[in-house]
Amino acid sequence: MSARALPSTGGIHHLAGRPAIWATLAFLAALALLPFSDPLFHALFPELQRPLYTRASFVDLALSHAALVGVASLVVVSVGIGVGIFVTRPAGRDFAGPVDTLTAVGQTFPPTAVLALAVPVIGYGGAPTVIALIAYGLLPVVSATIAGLNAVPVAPVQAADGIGLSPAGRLLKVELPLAAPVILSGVRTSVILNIGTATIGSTVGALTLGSPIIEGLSGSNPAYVLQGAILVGLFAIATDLWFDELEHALH
Amino acid sequence: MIVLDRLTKHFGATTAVDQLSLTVPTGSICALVGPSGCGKSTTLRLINRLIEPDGGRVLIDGTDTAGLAPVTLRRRIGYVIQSIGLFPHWSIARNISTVPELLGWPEARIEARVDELLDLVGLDPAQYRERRPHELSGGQQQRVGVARALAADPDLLLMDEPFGALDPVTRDGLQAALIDIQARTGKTVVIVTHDIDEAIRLASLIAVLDKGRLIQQGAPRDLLSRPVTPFVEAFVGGPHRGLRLLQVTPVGERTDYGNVTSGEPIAAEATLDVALERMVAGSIDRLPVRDRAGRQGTLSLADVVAREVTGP
Amino acid sequence: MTLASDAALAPAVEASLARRKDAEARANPLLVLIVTGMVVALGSLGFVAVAPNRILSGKAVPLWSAVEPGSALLVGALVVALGVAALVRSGPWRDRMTAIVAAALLIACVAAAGHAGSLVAADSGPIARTSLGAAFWIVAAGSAFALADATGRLAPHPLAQAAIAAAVVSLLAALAFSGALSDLSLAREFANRQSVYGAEVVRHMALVGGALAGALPIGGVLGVVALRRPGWRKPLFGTLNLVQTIPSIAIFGLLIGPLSALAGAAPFLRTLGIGGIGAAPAVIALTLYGLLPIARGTFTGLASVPEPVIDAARGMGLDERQILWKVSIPLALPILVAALRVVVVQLTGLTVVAALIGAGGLGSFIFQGLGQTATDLILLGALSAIVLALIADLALRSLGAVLTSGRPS
Repeated sequence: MSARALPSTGGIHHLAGRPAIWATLAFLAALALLPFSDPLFHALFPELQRPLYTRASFVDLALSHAALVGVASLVVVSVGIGVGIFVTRPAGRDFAGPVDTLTAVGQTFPPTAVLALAVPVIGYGGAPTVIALIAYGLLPVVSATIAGLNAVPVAPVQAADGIGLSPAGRLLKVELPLAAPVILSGVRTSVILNIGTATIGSTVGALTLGSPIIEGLSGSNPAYVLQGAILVGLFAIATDLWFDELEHALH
Repeated sequence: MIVLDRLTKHFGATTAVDQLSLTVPTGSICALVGPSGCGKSTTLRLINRLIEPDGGRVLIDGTDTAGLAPVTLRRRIGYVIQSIGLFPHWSIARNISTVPELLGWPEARIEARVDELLDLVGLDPAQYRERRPHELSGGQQQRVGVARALAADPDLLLMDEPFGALDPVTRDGLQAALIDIQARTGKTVVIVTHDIDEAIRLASLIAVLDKGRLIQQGAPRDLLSRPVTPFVEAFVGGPHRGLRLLQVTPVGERTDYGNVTSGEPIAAEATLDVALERMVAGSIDRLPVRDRAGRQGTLSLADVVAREVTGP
Repeated sequence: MTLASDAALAPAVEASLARRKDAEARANPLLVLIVTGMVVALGSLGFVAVAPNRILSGKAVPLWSAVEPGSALLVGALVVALGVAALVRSGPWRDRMTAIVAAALLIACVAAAGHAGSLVAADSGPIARTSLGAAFWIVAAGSAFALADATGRLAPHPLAQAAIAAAVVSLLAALAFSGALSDLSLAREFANRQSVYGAEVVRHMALVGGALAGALPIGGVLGVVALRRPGWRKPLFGTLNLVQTIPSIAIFGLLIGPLSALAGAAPFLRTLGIGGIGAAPAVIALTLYGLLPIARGTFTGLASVPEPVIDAARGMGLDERQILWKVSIPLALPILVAALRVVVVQLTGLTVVAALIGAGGLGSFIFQGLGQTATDLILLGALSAIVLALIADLALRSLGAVLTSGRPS
């Protein structure tokens, strides 16, 4: 998943060439218009008594979903990049092998299983979701940070030493900027994965855009499923496209 | 005999090969030379139809190659490239037997052929048959590349800068091996090179290309002594043209057979550069010469540096 | 001259040798950390949790009061032995000792938990439940990780690792079959569902297999297309990436509507099992997810084949199909198998979610458990899904190692 498609470069300054903006607008429009779409869903699903999800407002769901992913991602980015930096320094070199093993093995764990394992420990609600998102989201960030820092060419690092940069200066001014694209792709993988896992978080009691889907599935209400799926799909796509823009800006 | 008849190839707006006509006699080595981008590699790849021409024909022993299936055609033509392109996942023996296997030769015949070819290119079959390409040096790999190209006993061998990536000593050895193999098998060889010394050493016919056009063709000595344009003159020698001319001129041509000098004689078939080297090394200006018939004569320094006789 | 420079070098060489020795003598910091964690956990956290019935949450019981002193001492002694292994001079000898002690500790810790369960059952009757506690998980996970880390250094070859993993797993399985673990709540949940457990595992694998059957040929062809038509690469991979971006449950859900409409319009489809919920939308969605890694792996793998090799093959008269099958695919095999591994592991994980749309599989235990607040049922499903993913990962790693043995690196 390292190489992702870039947005079309033609006219980056024009709105037409910026799908991230379009996807965001579509998401916001869906969020704003869905509460008024009762007639539409009545027409689409005539057999349903209540075809519009009203248990919580879609805006609340979106905010809660974004907050879960946002909090988890903040922790993931700071801790994950920190761990990645630590094990690539002389002091942390002893941990590099085991951390590598841990991230490799951990990433084979099904995210839903990790989410489910948090419940016996923490209980139901938003907390186990955030914990699971952090635990699982760390892995791609750590491995991308290690990969990115290890892939920094030797020449600029030696040059940095040669001109007398301190180890910290070398890290901040040379190594991290050069490793940034790889690290960013790890963060992107982590965030997108977490948006998806947070959706499943509704099954353990977290309030997310997945709530209408889960409720629709258990209550045989396909309209709820559709509403949740549209919103969470647009949310994920818009986020992913913003990462595109970010990667583009980085080059 | 290979006949290229007004061959033309365009890549987009550029003309890579432009109305190129050339005849390569059977059993000769023909070198296509020129600066990079002159169309020499494209011309080679037009012969085995790795590239299809936009105009013109290629005739091999009178048969228009356009009438053959490309795959069939290529199996009859040996092909050697600079990067060698051995299949890294196959043993040396299996690499060499690629085309015979495609042609459905019986196993015993293939095995015998592999051993015969390894001998021919100077590699011990017992030692190298089962090795993988990465266990061999670059020079050894290219020897296998040549063996592989000769596997199905093609009459024609195409070589695209075959020795370009090798160090000078290895290259020298492989050039000698190629001259030897060609003399023993009588194959027709078309070789692409940007190295004029290699062309002079190997080829009996050199074709100089520039911007897709054939500028001049002829024996090495013709090109050196009578370049038709300043481009050819610069390409075949520039400041070294005189020295290269010595490499292609036999001693016998400059020998005064009336005059006998004492000492170890040099063969009349040797080239002037060898004679000059001996004069410099021995600080002498005269060498005794003996030709195959036993005639004796003398080569003087003045004869070596004498003006090349031009004109018929 | 050589002698002089040797003499000049000697102090430097000695210093570097001393540094090496120093590094060799150093403790394994990670192992020290793990053992410290185990000691703290065993001292302060519950080894098992005992509850009067299935639904009520249990009371934490530490190791020393959960089992007979002999068992507790054995676990404690093995923890100490692992601590000693962490402090001895590094090298194969230390790794061997670590691996053996860690494996013994893992098995002893599981056996102790089973023992605790039996004591509770004998004491409080069959309705009481013994769940695994935090200390158990820390010791078990710590020893499993120490084992994996040590074997990783001792035997880097995936086949050797698979053999060691298989040995440890069969010892644990023998323990389970002997009935020593039967009184643990996890085993009770398993026993209650024994009749469906095997079927759900098979169903899980069948869903993954069904998705692979679709994704491998389609993704493979898309990868070849991307290779041959550079202009198609960006839109193709962009679209496939978009599919991967959308959360799985959303795609599962979105497929229900169209498929039930389809089945409604053509009722014979329903007899084929194609309906709004169940296996059909799951396999379709999983196939869609599998496309990107397969297409990208195929493209990357085939693009990694050196151009001169292809040129030579073509020049010798191999036709395009022969070049693909005899040259490109064998040479791309390591990358292709790696892509297959990524896909199988990813699909095994995503299939857990498929239980939400009635497709079954191991996810059904998880979601049933979540619905009933039966933590050990959740655990049964989650652990099974993890083990299945790990087995798939190790199996395909081994396959990759077998297929690429004797290759230049």
